[in-house]
Amino acid sequence: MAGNRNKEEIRSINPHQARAILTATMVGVGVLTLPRSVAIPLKTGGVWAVLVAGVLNAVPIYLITVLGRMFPGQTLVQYISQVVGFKNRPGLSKMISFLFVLPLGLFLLLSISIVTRYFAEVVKTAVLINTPIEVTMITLLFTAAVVASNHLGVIARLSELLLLILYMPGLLLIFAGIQEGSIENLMPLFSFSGRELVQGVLASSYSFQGYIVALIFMGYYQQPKKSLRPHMISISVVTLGYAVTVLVTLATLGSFEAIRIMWPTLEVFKLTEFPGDIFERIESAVLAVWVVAVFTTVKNLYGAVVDIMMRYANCRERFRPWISFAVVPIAYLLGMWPNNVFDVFRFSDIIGSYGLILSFAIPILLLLIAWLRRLGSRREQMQT
Amino acid sequence: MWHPHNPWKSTKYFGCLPLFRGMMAWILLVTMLTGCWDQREIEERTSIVALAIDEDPTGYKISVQVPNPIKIFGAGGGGGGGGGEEAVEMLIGRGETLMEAMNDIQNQTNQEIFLGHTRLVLIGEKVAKKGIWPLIDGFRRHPAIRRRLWPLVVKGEAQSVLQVKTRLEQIPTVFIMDMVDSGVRDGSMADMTLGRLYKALYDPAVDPYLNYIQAEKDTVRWLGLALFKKDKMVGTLNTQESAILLQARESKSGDPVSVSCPDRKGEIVFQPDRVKTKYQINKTNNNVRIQVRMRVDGKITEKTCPIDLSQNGTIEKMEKSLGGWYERMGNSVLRKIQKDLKTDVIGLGNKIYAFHPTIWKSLHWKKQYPNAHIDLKYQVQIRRIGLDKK
Repeated sequence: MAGNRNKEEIRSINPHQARAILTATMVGVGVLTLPRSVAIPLKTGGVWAVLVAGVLNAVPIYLITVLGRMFPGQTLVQYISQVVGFKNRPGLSKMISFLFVLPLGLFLLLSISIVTRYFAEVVKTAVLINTPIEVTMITLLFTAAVVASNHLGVIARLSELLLLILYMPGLLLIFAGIQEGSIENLMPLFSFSGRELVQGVLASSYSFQGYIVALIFMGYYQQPKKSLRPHMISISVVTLGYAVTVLVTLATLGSFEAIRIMWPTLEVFKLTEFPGDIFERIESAVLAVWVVAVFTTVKNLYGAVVDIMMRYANCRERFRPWISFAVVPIAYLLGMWPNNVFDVFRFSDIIGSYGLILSFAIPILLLLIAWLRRLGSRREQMQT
Repeated sequence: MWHPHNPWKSTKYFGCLPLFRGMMAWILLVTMLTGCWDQREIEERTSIVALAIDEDPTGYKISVQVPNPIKIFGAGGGGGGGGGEEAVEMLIGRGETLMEAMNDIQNQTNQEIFLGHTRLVLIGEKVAKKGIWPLIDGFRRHPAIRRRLWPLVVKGEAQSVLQVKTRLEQIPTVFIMDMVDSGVRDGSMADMTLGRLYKALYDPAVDPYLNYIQAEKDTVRWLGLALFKKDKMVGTLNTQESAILLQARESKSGDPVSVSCPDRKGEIVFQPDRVKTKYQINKTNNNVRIQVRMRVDGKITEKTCPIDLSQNGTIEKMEKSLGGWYERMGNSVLRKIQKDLKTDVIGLGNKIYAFHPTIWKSLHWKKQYPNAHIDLKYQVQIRRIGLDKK
């Protein structure tokens, strides 16, 4: 009964999975450098930047959720022609909606490639010294492509499953903080100017990017109306996790050291020692877990990109794998673009700020237009 | 429409791929994801457990200690070599920089050298006095080097420590490692790991110090602490003096102390258990005033004079004289650190930076530190006197 199964798949994402998707997408490769990027402008007060950035990034998540609620059962690509297009001019609608869909797709694609490259770079310098980065990248991309060949509901379920593994390094981090941390390294908590805080907030916002995939995934929610709570929970959890990461890193390494180290968070794991030397050199184990964190990010972005292409071109479902694998070489080539690790950092900052702008711009513009044109179900607007 | 199920064409098992191709894909992924490039069997490595760094006309002379698994007791069949045979090998490399010297060692051995098991970095006194920046960079860039290893300064040549034949442990490195570990545990040695050394080097408000050891005939002796001014070693503290510094900086108890009895007929040995340190910092017209108040709790472990400790007032007298001893010692250490060596190993600058950021911003700590007014006050409390009531 193939036909029936597909219908069930269409809207299968429950609130738990919605939370898992956003959390898993946000927590990715940025965590490894987050303490450094907030310590550079703010020294010891880095935590505040993360907390403020969490609040700042909750705004676009709220807007995205409101927008998705107006069009239940439709992804952005489907409802955008209703919002910005005209009923009797489908060609023109497609053209106008392309102006919105292209930047979004481009951002997702660039994110995939830079995250992959970033991760390969970490693995190469810290653990697998002789393994070429090309291999690391291609395996990650291929695996993501295999996952993205499936329906988005499947990707959501996988996120839910893998999210459990994500919490393990967090516990280890807290353990390290108790072992090695000292309050003295965290003081003074407030010795920065407003301008430095803004810099820190922007820098840490890059680590939050990725929630924009909700624009796509929300089309497959069972109950989009009930999605605000899981979304807000996910941003809170991520903010809290990031805050703990920054706190522990600064407490163990001190701000002067955190600024100098390539991947401060990883270095904290190097410091942890288990009583009785059960585990030595735990950082490789942590990186093995980290693969999962990065992979969840990549596969969710990937699934979103593939879905955008599918919906925009009105592809049949059976072409999904083809499109999915066609993205691999593009993402790989884009990922190989930066020359060295500093280029990678620079690129990821640029893409991060681009993502931040996009996360604000798309929902605001669309909501504004939709509100002006009185679109969406009336009752929705009454509620919001 | 009902189709007979064809497992080979079904995409039930591998998502988008039919069975056979799906299997191939999985096999490919599994084989590629195991990281075979970096797979190295344990016997294909020359594990270095200790590094000793000395001066050399070319630059550095690096001696490394490599345990020899065949010669270690209880390892594998054939029984250990024992009887006069070495359980460890020493390899020596020379080069202008640390990594060049390491490369020189690599050229003398059959397997790839591996630094992931390194537990000691022994720095010769001469190298330490010249400055350790050039060494630190190589260590920091190397992913295998841990942050939890013990950097130690060696009196004389660092290599001499590797030549010690410890009797209690087959591998001298393990011996020294355990020695430092237990020393840190009971609070007499400095808990200065490589990671903390890095931290102290990059922090403008602190100066580092390291444990200072000396090789003897068949053991190693802890001499105290080597004090640094940023990366250059400027002086040392003996074991008694080190106790003061460790109390102030790490709130460690330090070594036992002996003072003469009030009746001058014997000695009393006091073993500190817990130390609490309080800092009070204020600034008056361009001069910093720092008050350090220490409270030392401990027990009496030995008394060789016929004084009755259970009598009223005796304990108080003891506490006073112990406090006096600590203050004299503390002030002489302070003079040495602050006036002669001008190095902030106590980390007073860090206290100001952390808890009084406004004062810190108005200071030029490096310049003002030698003239800062530092007050040491000790309060000793004897909590226990052991099992003998008198």
